[in-house]
Amino acid sequence: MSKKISLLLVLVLAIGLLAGCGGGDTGGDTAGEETLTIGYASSNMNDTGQTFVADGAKTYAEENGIEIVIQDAQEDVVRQQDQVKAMIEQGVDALVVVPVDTAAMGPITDAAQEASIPLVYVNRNPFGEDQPPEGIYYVGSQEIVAGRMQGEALVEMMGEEGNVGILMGILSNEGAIKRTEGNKEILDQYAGITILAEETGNWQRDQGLSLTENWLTAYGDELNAILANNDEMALGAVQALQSAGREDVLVLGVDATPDAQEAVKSGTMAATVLQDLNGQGRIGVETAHKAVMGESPDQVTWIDFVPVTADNVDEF
Amino acid sequence: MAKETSDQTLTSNDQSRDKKQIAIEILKKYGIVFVLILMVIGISFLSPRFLTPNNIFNVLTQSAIFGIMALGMTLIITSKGIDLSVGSVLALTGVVAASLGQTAMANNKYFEGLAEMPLIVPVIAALALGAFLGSINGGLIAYTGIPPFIATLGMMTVARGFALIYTGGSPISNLTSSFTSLGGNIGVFPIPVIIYAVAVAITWVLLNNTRFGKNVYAIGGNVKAAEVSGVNVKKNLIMIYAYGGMLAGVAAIVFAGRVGSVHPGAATGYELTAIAATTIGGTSHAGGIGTIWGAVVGALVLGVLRNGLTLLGVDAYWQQIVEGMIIIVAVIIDMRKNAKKK
Repeated sequence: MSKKISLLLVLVLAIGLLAGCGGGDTGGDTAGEETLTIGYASSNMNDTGQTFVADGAKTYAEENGIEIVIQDAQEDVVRQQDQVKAMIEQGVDALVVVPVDTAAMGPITDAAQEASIPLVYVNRNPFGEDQPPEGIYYVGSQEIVAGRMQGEALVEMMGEEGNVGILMGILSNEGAIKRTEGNKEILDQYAGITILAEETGNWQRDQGLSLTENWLTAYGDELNAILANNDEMALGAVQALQSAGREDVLVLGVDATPDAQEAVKSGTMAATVLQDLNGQGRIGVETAHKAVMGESPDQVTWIDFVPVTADNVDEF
Repeated sequence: MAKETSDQTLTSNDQSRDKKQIAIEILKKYGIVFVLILMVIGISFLSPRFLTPNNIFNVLTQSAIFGIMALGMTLIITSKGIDLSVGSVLALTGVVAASLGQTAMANNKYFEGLAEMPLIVPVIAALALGAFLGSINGGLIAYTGIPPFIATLGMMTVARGFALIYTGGSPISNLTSSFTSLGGNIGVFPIPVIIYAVAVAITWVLLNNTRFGKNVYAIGGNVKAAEVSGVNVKKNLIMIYAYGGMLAGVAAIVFAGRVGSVHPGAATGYELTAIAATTIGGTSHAGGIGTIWGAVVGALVLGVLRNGLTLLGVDAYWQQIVEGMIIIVAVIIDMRKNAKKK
């Protein structure tokens, strides 16, 4: 009896899993000699942001008659290594990789160098401050720039005086550290601007909401603006401010998510910053393309962020 | 606290000794309440804004979500189990409820063309799905014999995965006004707090006044003995975890109402907050010991701590350290209490 039921439970789980794992892999057919084939290893195609990067990559490939083979590592470092090696075996002409873990890219870098094909890392930088080795490229954005852009946009709107709270992402994430650093770089230039508090909302809307409620209790009318490391937390702040009837506090986020764009349109959020993910994917494949053609592209390409305010939100 | 005085002063008077013993018993039993009161007094001295009615309701509202989860966790831990999946179950039930509770004209509408649903639809969906996922937890534990830690660890990952697949990674927002009104007030009382209070009352009755509640204690105290005395352990385990999952669904509704949006990554780590609240409240991981009022006090200790540390402007990094230390100290006090009892 109990055995049967346990079997049934396992079956239910298994079927659920199978039903969930839709979507087949793209088989890379090695076409004629002329068409270039580029292998694209995504970190995780369930991550909305990564689908934007992949879309940019596909667009460039289509426009230039390049065949693109897309693999999805689902945030698994080992799987990504296997996928990249399989694509090298298939004979791709170049590789574009969004690293699952920037600290574990050594084997992939080595494999590409051994096969002497160009490798472009996109979106997440495995090299930190260092220059990539020969034949390896990086295309991405600098988080600190997003922070600076937020700070500059705030000073423009608020003036050179005011009190600011910073909602940080997960404290150990590079995005949280660098964006906050960029905020401070700008705000510290103005004697009239005070940072009242900087706390972590762990990227989450509900935690941004709770923290803002607590800041309103602690600082009341002193609080003039909130800089959030991402839009989700910024939208939580907006919610708290609305419940408290505070329309005077400026809220700025990063990411330009659809919800945040709505909020900027309706005026509840002052601004957000768009990371041009589509551009990263596009330029990533372009860099690989150029490298294959022997055009020696820049080894590191920075894609700029774009500030989104009420003035330009309709363009996105 | 006032523990030493009793040992030092040997009174010949039996009556006064009895009184003292009673006082010590109360202190031991309700030690965590005194910790809470001390915290409240301390913080209100340091920050005059702490004890304002508005802030008190803030603390209660902010505690409601993990407080509700801690109620189910109390039953589960009392039965000598654990449930690591409630945070992910909150996310999955939350995104499903949110997808059924969007306005008709929502941009990025999940079900295109779906008319505006009455609030009861997402509510029932979240509670039913939560109970279903919980019953899978309970079923796995009861029928395969795998440890609760492992079964619910699996569910934690699976439910989070389904939440991501269901949404494609983006939040579901633009909820109906009746849905978001759950984040508002009735009179001066925040609705999340009212829902929390109702959940507390129902769970209290369930644990203290029903056969099911007695079975929870019996299973946690000694499974073999419970089985011998005719308790249907398997059925009760499924019910316990189903109830925990259902409360995660309730928490999801409060979450969605309050935040106005549910992200598939929502409530990551909340299972640990719920376990911490339960543990601070004196529920023993050795099984058989646990109270609902304890879970409430435990949740309030965490809520007051988080709110207070922000009001006092304590550094974000230090806040985590303080929170961790409080949990450990609370459990040390609690273990001493239970050790003396035996």
